[in-house]
Amino acid sequence: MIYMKGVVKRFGEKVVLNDVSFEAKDGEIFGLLGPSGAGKTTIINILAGQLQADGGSHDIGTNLMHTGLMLEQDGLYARLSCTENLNLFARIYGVPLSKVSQSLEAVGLTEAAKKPVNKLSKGMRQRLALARAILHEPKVLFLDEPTANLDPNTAIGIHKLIRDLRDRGSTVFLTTHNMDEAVNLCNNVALLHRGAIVEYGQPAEICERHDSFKTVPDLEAVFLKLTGDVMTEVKL
Amino acid sequence: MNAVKAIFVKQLNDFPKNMSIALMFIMYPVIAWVVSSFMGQEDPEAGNMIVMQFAMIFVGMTPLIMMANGIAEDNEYKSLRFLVTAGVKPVQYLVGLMSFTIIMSVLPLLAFAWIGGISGGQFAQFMGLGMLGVLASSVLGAVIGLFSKNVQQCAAIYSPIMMVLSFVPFLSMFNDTVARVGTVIFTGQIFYSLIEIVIGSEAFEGRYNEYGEWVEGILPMYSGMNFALLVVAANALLFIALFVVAYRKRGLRG
Repeated sequence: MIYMKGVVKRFGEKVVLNDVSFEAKDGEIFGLLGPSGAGKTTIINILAGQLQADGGSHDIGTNLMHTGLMLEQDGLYARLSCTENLNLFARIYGVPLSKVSQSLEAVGLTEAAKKPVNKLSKGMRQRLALARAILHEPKVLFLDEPTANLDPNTAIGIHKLIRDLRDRGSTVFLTTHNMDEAVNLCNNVALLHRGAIVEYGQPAEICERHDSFKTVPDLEAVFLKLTGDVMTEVKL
Repeated sequence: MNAVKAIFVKQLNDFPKNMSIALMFIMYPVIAWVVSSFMGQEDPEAGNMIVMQFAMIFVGMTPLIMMANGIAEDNEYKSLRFLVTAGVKPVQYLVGLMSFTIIMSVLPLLAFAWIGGISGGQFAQFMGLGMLGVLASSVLGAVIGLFSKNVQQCAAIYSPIMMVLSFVPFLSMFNDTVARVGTVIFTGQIFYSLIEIVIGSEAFEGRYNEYGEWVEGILPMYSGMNFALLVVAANALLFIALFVVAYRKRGLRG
């Protein structure tokens, strides 16, 4: 189980996480929703051991070695090919190199296997980052905006992959500001606003609780009602 | 061991694609060979001296840049963060990077020895001194890499350091104060020792020319191979101490 209890994080004077508490059960897809700057990535960084919290407690229920990580900054080696990037991590994790082609196939990058990363599109890089995250079949998978910048078809494929991983027992912890993605994919979600959790539970339950379940659950409306802020970034 | 091997293989794959670094390994021996071929026709001593000068510049610059750039790049693009999360320990990461840098540096040193016509016992001295210098240069590069947030900052830090390491030994020929600085830096002692190997003590002590006139030595007094080894080792120890301080202060978290 992944949990945070009363976690506080400050950057200088600014409090970026204020008494954040939630738990994600084993084998579920847990979504952390909020606009940019709400503190989603900070939470992932704390859980993944990249940042230290200033207060509270947290745990991911497993060793960091058994986690997969996909962040906005993908950390891929630009001059190396897709295969070489994954081979590096296969050697580190001690998994057979044959797993590399399986991972590439799972994210639809088989044909680009020999391409250097600096020749890939942003969406392809994102898929490669996901392939690296799932290479060792981690118990816990942290995905920061996994389908941002992806075309709808690829996003659907990634959703299927995430569900498959969940069905095979992995716990998936993802952040998104895509409400539809959260409703369709997540077992439980937490709505994060200015560093604090403002709602937490199953998407449909949350919508019912706030009378925002007309024909389909409308988490966007719930978020607007609770915070007065819009969740989805509008790009003009 | 998996992690060290993985980092080593990653470096091996990256090396031919990282042209700015790979070229340094080829460029210095090639330029040394071309220049010494021309100069050596008229004055073999001057030709050999040029080769040793390039060898010293290679030892002072290339491992330093390779290590510093490698760490700074991994910091800038957050690759280090993923390695650490995957369970790679900082020491494994550094051993992987450094072992590759040191092993790769053997080839240009062999080329310099061949171009300079160094063989037998002198060859062992040349390689030993060169490898000790490569070690010192690599550790200094790691310190610079640790202090750099990105590649640009890294270049801004190593450029002046590199100029001191590369030019001070050479400029020792023209100025006594500069020569005193040269005696305490590892590239200085490597340069003097290499000159001693290929030209002999007359490069420092002076000699009578063919007309019976006394010609001053071209370099300041050389204190011998043992002293040179001591200075290079002291430099390496100083850089290791600096590295420990830098590591405690900055860490390797990506």
